[in-house]
Amino acid sequence: MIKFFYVILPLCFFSLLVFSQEKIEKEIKVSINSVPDKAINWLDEVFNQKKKLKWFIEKGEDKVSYEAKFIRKRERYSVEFKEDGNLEDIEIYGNWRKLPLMVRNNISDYSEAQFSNFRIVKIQIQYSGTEEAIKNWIDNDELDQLVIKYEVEFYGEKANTKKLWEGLFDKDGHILMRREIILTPSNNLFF
Amino acid sequence: MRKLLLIFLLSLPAQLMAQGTVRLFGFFPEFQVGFKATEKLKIIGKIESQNGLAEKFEGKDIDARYFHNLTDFQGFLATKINPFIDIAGGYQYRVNSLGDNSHRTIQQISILQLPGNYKIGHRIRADQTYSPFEKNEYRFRYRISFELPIEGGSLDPGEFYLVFSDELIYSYQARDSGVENRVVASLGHLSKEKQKFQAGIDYRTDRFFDPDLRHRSWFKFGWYLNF
Repeated sequence: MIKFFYVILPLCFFSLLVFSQEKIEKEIKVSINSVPDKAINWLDEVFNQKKKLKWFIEKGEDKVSYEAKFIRKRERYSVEFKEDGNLEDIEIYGNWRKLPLMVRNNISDYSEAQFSNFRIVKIQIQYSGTEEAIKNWIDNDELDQLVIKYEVEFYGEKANTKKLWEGLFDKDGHILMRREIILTPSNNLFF
Repeated sequence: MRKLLLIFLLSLPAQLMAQGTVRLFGFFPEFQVGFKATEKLKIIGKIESQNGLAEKFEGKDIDARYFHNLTDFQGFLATKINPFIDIAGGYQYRVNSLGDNSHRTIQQISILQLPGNYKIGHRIRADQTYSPFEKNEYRFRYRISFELPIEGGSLDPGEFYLVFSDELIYSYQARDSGVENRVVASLGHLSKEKQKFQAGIDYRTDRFFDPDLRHRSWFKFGWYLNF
């Protein structure tokens, strides 16, 4: 039996190493040295964020991007840059009650039409536009030249389906896209 | 990540020694496979085996030798109430080294919370153990688990994570009550979205109502498949 232990244990760790080579899409924490200077400089100029700033690289099948995550004025920011360091968009965690009334009404109307029961899990507000327009918004709160979207994770229940969804809504709360969220397995926590 | 892994592995012996009165130490492999039988029904099979390497009784020297303690074969049928709540019923057959093999029926409800980029799992379980050699034993258990990604904002395939859990168990057998506590700290790895590996320490204390409090520490490693 001890021999069995000596064989199985190294095999388990070997498996860890082998499978860690494979990846379809993932987000990895990186040091600031790995981030394009252009992204670092833009973030420094606009936000001057020194504390609790974390950088991540997000690798997809055909896309690489960098993300800076930090908390500013009690709000959780996620600033995404393209591989070359150009700004892509900014996402801020939102609170349902603080969304514009029209947005809430339209999202609610959509959800009530699609589901018999629904519950908001998480909201992120996406801001995109030119780097200058984003800077104007941060400095002067000018939203005119920005494209605003709402990424909403919600639980939706129909007659035969009870699932988690991610919906992308436009600035008025009209649906643009919806996809099912597949959670990673949790059997290790429950059995 | 390498530093974290190194610190974790190097700290394992310290964790064992820090317990003061180590009574039993061993290794505890487990293998679990789950698959969908129908849209609503899931089948989970599990094998776990406790194998002792060292045992120490009060006032005696450490008895360092290998011994098989027990092996459990478990099967569950589970269904989802919604993405966050599952209910399951199961059966276990235990092969005990002393020969007093037993049967167990299990009922549980599990609740998943997603407060941010990590998971919180609550498991409420009742089980009943039947053996020809002992009176029936009835237990009520609650376990809280935390699964924390350590490489990114969320746990993606190919990444490592940490799991911490604590379980309180109340047992009743032949008019006697018992309490047991189980703490687990593990390093895990998610691969291919359907497969997890975990390795860590499972530290159990029981016989709280007896004069000899028992400590058991297991080096636990598991392989979890989900289809």
